[in-house]
Amino acid sequence: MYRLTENVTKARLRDAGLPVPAGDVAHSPKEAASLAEKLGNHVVVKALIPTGRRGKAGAVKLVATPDEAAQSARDMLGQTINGYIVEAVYVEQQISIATELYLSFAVEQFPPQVLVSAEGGIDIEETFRCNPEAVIKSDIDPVAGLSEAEAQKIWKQAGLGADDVSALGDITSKLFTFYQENDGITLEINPLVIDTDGKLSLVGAMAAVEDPMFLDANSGGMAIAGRALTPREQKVVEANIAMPGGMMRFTELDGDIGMYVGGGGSSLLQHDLVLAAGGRPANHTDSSTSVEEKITVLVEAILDHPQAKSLLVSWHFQQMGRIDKRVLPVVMVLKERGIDPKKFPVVMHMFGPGEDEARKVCKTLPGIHYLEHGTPLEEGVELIVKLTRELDQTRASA
Amino acid sequence: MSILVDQNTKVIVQGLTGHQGRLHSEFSMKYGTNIVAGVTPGRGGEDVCGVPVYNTVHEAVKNHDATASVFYVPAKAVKAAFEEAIDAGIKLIVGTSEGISRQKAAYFRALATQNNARLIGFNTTGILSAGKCKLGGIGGEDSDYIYVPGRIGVCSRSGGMGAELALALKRGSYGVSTVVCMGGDWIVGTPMVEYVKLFEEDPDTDAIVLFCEPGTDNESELADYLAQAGLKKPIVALMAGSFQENYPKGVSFGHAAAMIAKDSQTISAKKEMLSAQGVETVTSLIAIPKKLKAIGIEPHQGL
Repeated sequence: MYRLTENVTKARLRDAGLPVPAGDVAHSPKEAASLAEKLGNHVVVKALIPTGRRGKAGAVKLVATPDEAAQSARDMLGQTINGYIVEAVYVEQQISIATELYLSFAVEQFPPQVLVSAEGGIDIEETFRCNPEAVIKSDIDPVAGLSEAEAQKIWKQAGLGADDVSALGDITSKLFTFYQENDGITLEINPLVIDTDGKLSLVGAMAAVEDPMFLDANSGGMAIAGRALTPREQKVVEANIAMPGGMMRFTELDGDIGMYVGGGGSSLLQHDLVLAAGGRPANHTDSSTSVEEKITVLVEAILDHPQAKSLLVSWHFQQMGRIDKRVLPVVMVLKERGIDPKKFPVVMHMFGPGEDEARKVCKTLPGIHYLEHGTPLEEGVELIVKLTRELDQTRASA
Repeated sequence: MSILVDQNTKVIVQGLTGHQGRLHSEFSMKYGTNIVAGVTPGRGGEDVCGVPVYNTVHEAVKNHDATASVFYVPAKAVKAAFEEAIDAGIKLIVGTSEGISRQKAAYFRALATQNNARLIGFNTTGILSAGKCKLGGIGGEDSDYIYVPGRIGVCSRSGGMGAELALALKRGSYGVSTVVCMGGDWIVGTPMVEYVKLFEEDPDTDAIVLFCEPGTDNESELADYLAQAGLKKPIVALMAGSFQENYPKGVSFGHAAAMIAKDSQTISAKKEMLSAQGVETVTSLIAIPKKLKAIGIEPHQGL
């Protein structure tokens, strides 16, 4: 799951004809000041990071002049907030708020759901906890969509009056269509504001979308939930976007065994098995690609980990893909880097179509441990853990 | 017997003229699958390995009474192909395409259910009834090496692990009735509990082996069902991905689906809720046949 930053979400909402306050991105105090001037001086300056609860972290400031906007930007830029370094701020026109509402969509399970509450604003988490009845939850039939009439009913249940439900029904129905068409995982509008003129405005807008393969190259603002991407993770994400032909996921960890282990399920199992055998993975990988250039990027990222001192190349028995296509780029990267498998253990558990060719390629770099055909996954894992541990012992005694 | 498909199932292939469609259909036919027609818009009148190609699913169904369809259709073309298949009355769709979003998956599942059809996948390697037929890339060219016929039903949340489970069973002198890979996505057409129910009803399945992962409510739905209906056949579940609990929630470590969203979706929680209903949980492949023997399922291979 990737969270989009506010500018990306709001630009998409604006393109869809939905009411978003005017605003833009500033990378310096000077840019923030000139944006404030353009937007009528009374603006909100927000740290542009893909996370909620920015208000509580002091990353949202209401200001009344360009100078104040510049000062707020200066205060925020370069800070680390909720684990992200603030590299830009979002400067947005202030809206005169009459009522703050809450609206979100989620597809955590089947079917998708809409959540609304008359109690919007920064403390929605508190509302969920203390007063769950104030939050109305409703299933949506993804075939029929969310009609205006249904959406109106939900807002009525949340306690909104007849004056407001008509416009709210309309915008909620449109937002669901937007959410569905953009392959959203979550879309949260908090607050959804009724301004002092009675008009609706999407003041808070956070979205999480599918993996980067669903994004185009300009979407930006991506981060693995919990922390920013490392430069090596960023390279893999970029390769996914730039090159078609299967997905690669790569998460860096703090162990020392590099893992080019394949397929979602077997990569999960092998990670467990490495830990159970007393080893520590330097990364987690899950990939489905057979594209040589993409695999090269992934293997380089795995080997670039400063702590990596061994490599496990292990997939489930291949039924469809040719394994030599996966083994060849691994051996090429190892050779290019002058890695000697006698000092940097490499274990291969790669069986299936193309195995003879894969074995031939591995023979050109002596020292690779290519397991006997049909060996269970468990044995490859045990071997790499053993070889890595022996390395530690050799170094300790040297 | 087997579940969902056998040698009599009349199958069409949407996307038969593409590289994947052609290759896997050829392997499937060699294995015994009754592929009656292919569909590729604009390629009607051609034939692939003796199978006639039509422009529309309607024509293919009308001429051949097909009830099942395998998709080798690029993600972008899936929606139109899916709607067409449902409209033409197809009752079983095997969706191999990768890169289907949750939103689309939810839509396909709702559309299938509302039309009394079933979707396996998306992002599935398919379904194989040992010695009878297979739909999807499952087994590749040499299915007989991996999938030995027998009496264990297998349902895996991962396509690759479907093969590993079958091989682990083979090493322990067991065979499989049907192996179904649910698809690795967050939302799939048919949840795990539905496959378990089908295996329970299948007279030629004696026990069920599952591959479980973190994320999604598949396992908790199964536990709820077992709590209410009771354990009708022995179930052994390989539980993978407990390592994820060492890391913050929301970090993606595998399939789109293998991401923990709630505490009930961790492997520890799933292990506990399934064990409470009498499911035997294991954490390695080699433990599967051992567990089957321990609970009194005799090793067997062959139909």
